[in-house]
Amino acid sequence: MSKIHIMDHALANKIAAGEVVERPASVVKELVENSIDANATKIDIFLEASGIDSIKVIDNGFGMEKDDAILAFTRHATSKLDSVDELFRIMTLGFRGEALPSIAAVSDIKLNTSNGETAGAYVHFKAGKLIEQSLAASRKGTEITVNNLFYNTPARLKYLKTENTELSYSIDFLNKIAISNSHISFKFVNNNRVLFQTNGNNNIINVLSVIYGIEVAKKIKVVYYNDQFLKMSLYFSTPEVNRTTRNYMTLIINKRMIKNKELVKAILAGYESYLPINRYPVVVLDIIVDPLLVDVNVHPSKLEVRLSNQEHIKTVITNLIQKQMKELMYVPKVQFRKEENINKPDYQQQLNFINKDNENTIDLFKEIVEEKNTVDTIKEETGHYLHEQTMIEPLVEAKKIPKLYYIGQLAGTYLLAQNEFGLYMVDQHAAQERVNYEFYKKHFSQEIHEFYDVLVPFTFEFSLNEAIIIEENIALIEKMAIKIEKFGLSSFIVTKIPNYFSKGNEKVILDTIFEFILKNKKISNESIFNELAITLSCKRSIKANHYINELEINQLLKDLELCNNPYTCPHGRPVIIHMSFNEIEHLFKRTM
Amino acid sequence: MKFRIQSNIFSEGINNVSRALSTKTPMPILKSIKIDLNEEGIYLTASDSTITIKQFMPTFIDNKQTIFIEELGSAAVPGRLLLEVLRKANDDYIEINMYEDKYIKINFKNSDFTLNCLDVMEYPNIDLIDSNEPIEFDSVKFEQIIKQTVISVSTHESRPILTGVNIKSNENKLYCISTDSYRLSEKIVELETPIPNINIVIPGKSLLDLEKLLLTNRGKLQIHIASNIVSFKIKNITFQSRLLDGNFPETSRLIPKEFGLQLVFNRIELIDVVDRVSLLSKEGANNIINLDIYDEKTIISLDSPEIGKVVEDITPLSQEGSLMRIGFNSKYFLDALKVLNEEKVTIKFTGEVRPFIIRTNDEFVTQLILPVRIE
Repeated sequence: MSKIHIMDHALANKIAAGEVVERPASVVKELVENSIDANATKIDIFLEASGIDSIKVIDNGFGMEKDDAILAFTRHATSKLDSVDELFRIMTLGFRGEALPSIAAVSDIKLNTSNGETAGAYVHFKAGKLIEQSLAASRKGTEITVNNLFYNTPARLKYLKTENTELSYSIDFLNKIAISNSHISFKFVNNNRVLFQTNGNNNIINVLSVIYGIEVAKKIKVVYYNDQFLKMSLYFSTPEVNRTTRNYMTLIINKRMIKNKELVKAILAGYESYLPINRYPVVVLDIIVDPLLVDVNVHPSKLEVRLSNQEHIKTVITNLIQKQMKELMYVPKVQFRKEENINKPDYQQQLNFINKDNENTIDLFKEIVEEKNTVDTIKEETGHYLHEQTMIEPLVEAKKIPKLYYIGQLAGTYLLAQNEFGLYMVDQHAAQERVNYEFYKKHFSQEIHEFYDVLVPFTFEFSLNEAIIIEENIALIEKMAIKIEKFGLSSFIVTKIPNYFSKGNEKVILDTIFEFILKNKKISNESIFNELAITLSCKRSIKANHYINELEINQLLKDLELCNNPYTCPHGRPVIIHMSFNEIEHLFKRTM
Repeated sequence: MKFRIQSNIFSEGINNVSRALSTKTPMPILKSIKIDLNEEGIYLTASDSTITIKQFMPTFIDNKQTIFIEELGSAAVPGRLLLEVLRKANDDYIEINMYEDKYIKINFKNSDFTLNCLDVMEYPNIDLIDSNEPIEFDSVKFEQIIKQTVISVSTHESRPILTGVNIKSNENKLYCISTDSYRLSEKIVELETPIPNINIVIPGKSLLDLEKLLLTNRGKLQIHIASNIVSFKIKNITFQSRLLDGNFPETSRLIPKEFGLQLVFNRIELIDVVDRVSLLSKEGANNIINLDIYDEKTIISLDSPEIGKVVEDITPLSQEGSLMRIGFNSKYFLDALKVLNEEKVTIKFTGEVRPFIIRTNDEFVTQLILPVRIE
């Protein structure tokens, strides 16, 4: 008897399910994507116990006929793809024809569907077997209910995480799908509690306000871009809205939510030096390109895509954001926590974003806010609402800082200055970092260098492997008008240094440069000077809690006024905070 | 300890040793001046981690008694306070009285100060070295050596060895050299008697302190050298400094020997011109002045894009060779010109990218300056 035989369908489907259906959130994803592919404009998702007990998705899409309803549960059955040719212009979210049979293999699934014209169909599968079918009401759309997920794969069931965690996966997915499908009205309910609801009026900002909160949505700007290859809508947060994870960057290509490290890099490059280190912006990148240029068939999860003109798109993104950031240069303004009663108008405003016919909107919103907070604490231990609460918001979109008149130093860290607009607080460390950063950046990019052939060379000792890296980068180092020569097995001597290296600190500066090269090994020419300028500017700056005399302070303020971007330090923290006379007088209750 | 002393003598002594008082120290006792009184007189000692100054004040000066001893003993008195009190003293004599081993009373005229003292037993025992064959100098001459070399000492600790002046002997010549690697100063001193080989590096800061001390105390200066310490003795004062560890770079080949262009200027006139031109210099990057040397005329200019520019010409007293443009740091140039004493200075160039030197009739002083090159 032969040892090899074709496995039966049930087994094959269970194995396939292992790939596609990992957790309730995967089911939610497959079902919602099906609804979207069915051109639904309204999708309601109801979970019980975060989907472990039951998942119900109701849409108003085009539905199926009776025969199709059964066929849909057969492997590789799909309405979305007819030929190989079409595979290369996929606009639908699903296409492999694996989802429904996979889900059916590990659950108890009921399907009610109708195209609105002929009679509807009802089918009931359990563990992949059809156990019931009948006619049903002809309401256009599909209602699908998945009960007892993984009941027949106890191992999978056992490794599900807590309800909260499982719920967070679903929320995370639905957040993004709602953002990428702002034309669809989503309603998401868990254990009879509405988690969020969008109105499907094709406005991404509205969706963002529902998902990330009204305060964030207020600070989202949008910019559009069009050329022969692509059409792009870029929604981006101003730098003071930032998060500890990259999760708030949503990439959408041809209405498909995707993951792409390179595009994320391009976004971050645009924010370079405007965001604090290890903080990430809230961004929605919505790109429409010729489907031929996108290959989505990389992985069953369809999250990874390959882009043919990726480099072009990257450049466009980085330039767009950089340009916007420059235009947005601002002095953050001190804003004091408003009292409860002042908060009410905000709710009022929020209401406008969602369906007005919903009478319970106020309660609903409270719920959303609460729920959102709990979900976020599930996801991360650290509170990343911090930055919303620091109460900083842009004041003016000015190019240069106004003339400041120095008053005094606070806690050896902040410089207080005034002018006719009010009080300014300057972080002396951040300010000097900015000044130094621009100093080094300017000198690094210079074509003509002034330099010295020093009388006494500087010597540097490295380990053997470090010496190899340094040697490889000699050409790069020489671009900075530094001459470095090998001197023995692993030592080097520097015989030529640029004039702008501050005297007495040459060794520290050179050390910083070499350390930087050793740490970054493979460095592209353009990036090194920027990064290096950041590193040097930080090392060479006065620290906080350090008293500096008035002469130095006035020099610092003068230098700062000359900076191209005096508002943030190279790491993106603010340099200046402004408090207007109005606000001061308001605090003293001189004006009411 | 109890004694009475002429106030001007005592203040002068305290003033001398106070140069070595520590301002920042992990050892509070080093903020004190140690006073030791014995039959012959008073020994004052002050020290920080680098230098120690010890002064002896004899009981009798030229057979005239200046100290009247009642009780011998020792004390560690807060240095700065003692100095301030003595500066304000308005009497010819001062009476010092230590009691209970921790208080010192200072009395003059109608004043009665009581200062808290530290335990004198805590004061570290500092050995003063003494060699059999000290090098002897006229103190004024040594003052000159310090003045003309200390300008090129590096003020940054990143390369500690360059923060000192290298003093080494070769037969009957003493070479005193300093460099911060952008400029170099060398002074050669001819000695009447040959001395044993020495090669030491004295911290620039110590030399500056010594220079101040020598300003008010002139005479014959003795230099005693031990492995890591140098000790200068002038009159009754001993000034001792730690030496810097390490090898001072070999500099003899750095000073060019042949010159294609030599200019002689009136020193004061040149200083005035450079001083004016460097008004537009900015500490940091933009302090580069340019010399455009033509026949009969030299143009000194500074162009600072952010500030402005200035041009001034000066006619050399004499000139050999012509046509050259060289740029360098104006501060280094001024420092060097200012410490030379003669009326005329000669500037000798080898080439636009080579270091140039400044000399006077005194062939033993060389100030070398590195040009800034452009690429």
